[in-house]
Amino acid sequence: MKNKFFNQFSIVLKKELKDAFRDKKSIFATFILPLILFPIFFVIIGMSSNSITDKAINPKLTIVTTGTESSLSVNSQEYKYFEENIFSISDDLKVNYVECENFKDALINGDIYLALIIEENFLNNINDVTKSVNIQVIYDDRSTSGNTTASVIVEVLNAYSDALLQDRVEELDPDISMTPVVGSSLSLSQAFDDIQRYGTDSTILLLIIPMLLTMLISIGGASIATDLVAGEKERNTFEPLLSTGASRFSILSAKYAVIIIFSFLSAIAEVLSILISMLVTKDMFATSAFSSLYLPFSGVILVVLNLLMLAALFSGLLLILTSTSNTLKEAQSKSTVIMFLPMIIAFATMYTDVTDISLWSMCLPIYNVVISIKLLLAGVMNYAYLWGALAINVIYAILSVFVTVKTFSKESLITK
Amino acid sequence: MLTLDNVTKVFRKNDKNFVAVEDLSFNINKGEIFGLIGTNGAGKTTTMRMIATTLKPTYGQINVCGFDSVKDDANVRKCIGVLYGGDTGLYDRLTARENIEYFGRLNGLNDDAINKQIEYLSEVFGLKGYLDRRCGSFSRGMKQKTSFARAIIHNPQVMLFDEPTAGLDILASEEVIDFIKQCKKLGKTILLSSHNMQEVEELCDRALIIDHGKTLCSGTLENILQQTNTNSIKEAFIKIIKKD
Repeated sequence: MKNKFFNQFSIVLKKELKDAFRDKKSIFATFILPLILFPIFFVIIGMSSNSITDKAINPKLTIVTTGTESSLSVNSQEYKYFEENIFSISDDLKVNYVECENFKDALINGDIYLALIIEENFLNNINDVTKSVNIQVIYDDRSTSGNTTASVIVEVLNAYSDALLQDRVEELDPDISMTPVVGSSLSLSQAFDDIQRYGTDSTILLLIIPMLLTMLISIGGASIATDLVAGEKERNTFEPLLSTGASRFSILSAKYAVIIIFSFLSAIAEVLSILISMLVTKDMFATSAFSSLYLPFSGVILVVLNLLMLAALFSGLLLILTSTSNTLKEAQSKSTVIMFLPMIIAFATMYTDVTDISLWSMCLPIYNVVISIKLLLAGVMNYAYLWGALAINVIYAILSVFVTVKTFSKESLITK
Repeated sequence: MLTLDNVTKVFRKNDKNFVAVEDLSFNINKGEIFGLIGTNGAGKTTTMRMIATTLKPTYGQINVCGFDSVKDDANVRKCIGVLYGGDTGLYDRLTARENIEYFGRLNGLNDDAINKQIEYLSEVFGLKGYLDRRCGSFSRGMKQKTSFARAIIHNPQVMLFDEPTAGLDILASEEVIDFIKQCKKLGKTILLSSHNMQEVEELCDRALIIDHGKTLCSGTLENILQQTNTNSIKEAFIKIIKKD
């Protein structure tokens, strides 16, 4: 009996995999898209980021005096002071000075990124040790270039102020320390080389991997799932299949397994995609993030089991949806609804601190899996949570399988 | 070989009962071709589905090759071959050979038996040059012939054919009709559902006319013609349906 089941199971499984791997649409949605998505995404982000950095060190700006709207001339004493004393503080900064009649219009139109508003007697006041000079940096907060450039210029102004103060203090007494208190922060791994910890220090990996793995394990098989029953019904192959010597349970089990396999393959493609992204865009990631990854075997096994249970839960849900649909389109519409659930829950956990997790959260499906992966990657080996989550996820998976078997044995499966 | 005993099928939809088949009884002997004739929605497909075990009768019993369709459904499926009507369903991304092999394996055949059967059936249906082509590119006729071969790959004792020649050209239809006749000679039991009365006349030994789930007339073709005082099954069918 057991042999018969496994024989029928493997026949259906082989056929479904062969059929699926010949389906270009499913292969693209399950593997190609996840594989190329991140490298493309990070290359585009990297290009935008480089462009913004480029603009920040080559800012287009103008200088106006309080109460006026038009720029000071590039030949004015004030501009020359800025160029020779203030902007020269930074070696990278190359200012593109723009003369305009109305600096507000120029900001709105994007002709300049920022305007420096100085006092009328700026030159006199800056050389007067008893006075403080006020320089306003005006920028368009809707412009990314404006935001970035403003912070760069404010930093330069503060650096010039510190340098000026240092000169003045040194004139009075060269022994006075200009930095009586120095505050600095170091992470544990930065401070001590000899500490052996599980997990990774890469914040990006901690944010992205748990979220994406959970989402893809949940819905990575959706594309193939819709085809497995609703697609068969639409093509009129389902009823002949049910009329063969194979039992419904073996057919269902094989289809279940195909969805789980595709979910895992999709998730593996995503991890590979992140790895490729890290190699392609080295600047954006800590390149050592994976090489320093040190994970305990027991933790990895528990997380993989949690992922497997989540895959079983969602494969069941997807099979129920596709089994209760008569056409591919209907199945796709239904699965779109279910696809939002893991996305919302996974995004909600983005900033969860794994060192402070409530135990009750292990009862929430999807959420408990994201947290389990976060715990593993962060090296916080909370085994009570990992085991608890696994127990809960086993219960959800069993319930899902039970409802799926019930749905699959209904007569409405073939009657429209 | 195939017996239906007071079979009734009731569907429940929107809190209402719908009787698809009512108190249907007939039996088909070994080597006999039995025609199930009716308009669309008469209950022919529901009857086929109950015999094929994909639906369970609400009342009554179906016995195929000595097996009860509810208690022993797996054995029933082993001894039947079903060709469903409507648009023929094949796996478009698989070749004709892979489609036929798949059903052969699911029906418990080993590789040798499958290869022999494919060789034989491809000869009968003129599939030789098409066996290793993907079915997505097939004409309707070629798909129907592949479906036919797939349905009977395991050489079943009882064959259920729903509109077996639908969509086929005259030559292909003749091939199918000749094959059905050959099956009869080999002692196969065949239930044929068809709208083509000429086909029914040519093939069937006995027939049953069904409408709205109820049996209107049954017997040998001669009996039906005598009962209705008509010269052809087509005339008899129209007369009986209109009278009802």
